[in-house]
Amino acid sequence: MSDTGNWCLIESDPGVFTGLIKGIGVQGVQVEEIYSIDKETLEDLKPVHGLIFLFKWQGRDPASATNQAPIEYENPDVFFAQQVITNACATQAILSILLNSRTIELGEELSNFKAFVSDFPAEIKGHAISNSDVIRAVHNSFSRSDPFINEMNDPSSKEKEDLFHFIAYTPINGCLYELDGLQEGPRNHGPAPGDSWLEKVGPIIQERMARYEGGEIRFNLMAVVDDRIKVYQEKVAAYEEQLKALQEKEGPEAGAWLKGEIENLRGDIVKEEGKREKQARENKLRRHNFIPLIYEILKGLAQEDGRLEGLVEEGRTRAKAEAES
Amino acid sequence: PQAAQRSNLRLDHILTPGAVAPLLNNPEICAALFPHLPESSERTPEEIQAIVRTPQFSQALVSLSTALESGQLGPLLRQFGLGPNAGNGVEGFLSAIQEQAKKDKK
Repeated sequence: MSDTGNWCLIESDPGVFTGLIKGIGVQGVQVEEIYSIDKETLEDLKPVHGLIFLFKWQGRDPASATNQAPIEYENPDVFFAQQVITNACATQAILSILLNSRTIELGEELSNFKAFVSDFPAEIKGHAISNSDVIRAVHNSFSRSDPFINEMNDPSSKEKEDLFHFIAYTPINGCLYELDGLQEGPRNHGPAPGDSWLEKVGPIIQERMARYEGGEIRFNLMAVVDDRIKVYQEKVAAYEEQLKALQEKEGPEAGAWLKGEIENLRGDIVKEEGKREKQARENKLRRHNFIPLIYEILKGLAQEDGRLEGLVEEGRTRAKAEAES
Repeated sequence: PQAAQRSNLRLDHILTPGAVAPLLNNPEICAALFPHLPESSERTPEEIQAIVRTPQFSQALVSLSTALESGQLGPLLRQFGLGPNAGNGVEGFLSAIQEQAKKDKK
């Protein structure tokens, strides 16, 4: 395999995706995991730039081909790249959202890339992604550092055959698009002006999930949203201004509701900062090669008389119980 | 080398937080572990215990087990000075470590 083919499996985790986006030089956005596609959840996160949907790959899904939105083969306004590298789909889905946005600040690296590939056909765009040193390096920096993990299966899964795939939903020119690098082109789900694509996309994703048997729960939905801390800070500033105006008119006791809102937002900012710290720590652990540590711990246990032997015995019992359950 | 012994044993069945905790009372062993922590981590037994509890560490145990079972890790394991059997599955890896510890003691 050539060097450009070396893409690693990355975890579908909001901290990883946020780190990946920042790594490519994009400012002012982050990725949030979504646990339900109801109106309140999405309302809270607005503005949403796009959704990334992860699901178990079941082949090309011939049964549903009839009710799918039409593919647009030639639309210069839509950035669409075919996926030519097996494990790049997470990055591909993120790029599908970033490069189709009119509002996200892409930064120098990605702006140059976008300009460079703009006239290429979809397949060549895919190759351009896999040939981009920066994109590949950032992607791979978020893979687990264990040197042997570069297959697309989920290593913690009991059935090793499971493949996962990421696709993106995003609004472009007032229409909702589905961008799936394994398809031949972008799928246009029809007009959805403004934020209304968020209402349109819910049933589409739910329908996709419903195609799986009851037991399948390995779906993951993530949203590319504006930097939460910035959003909260702007709201605080706006409320403070309102409060000031109100108090000038009605005295210092006025505006209890506004004071409460400001207090809540300040709490949200603290929470968000804590979350980021946690994500940064997790990302560092993800990049760490634990093999020497594991070896040293096992060695330490072996050196303490019989400790390891006893633990291996217990481990076998545990493994057996797990296999039988 | 003998044929790999097939089992469902994984390293995460063995290196539970409870199994590691008593080891951290030994300052010598802690000192041997510190260089292998992530750079940004504090060099304390508490930090080791915290790391052992993270999903990232568990994942490393699972993927190392998978790689050991695939039998492709031989060269990587030689850097630890383990015997030729070390690459023979999780069981082979563990018994190679035990043998090495016995030898070191003599």
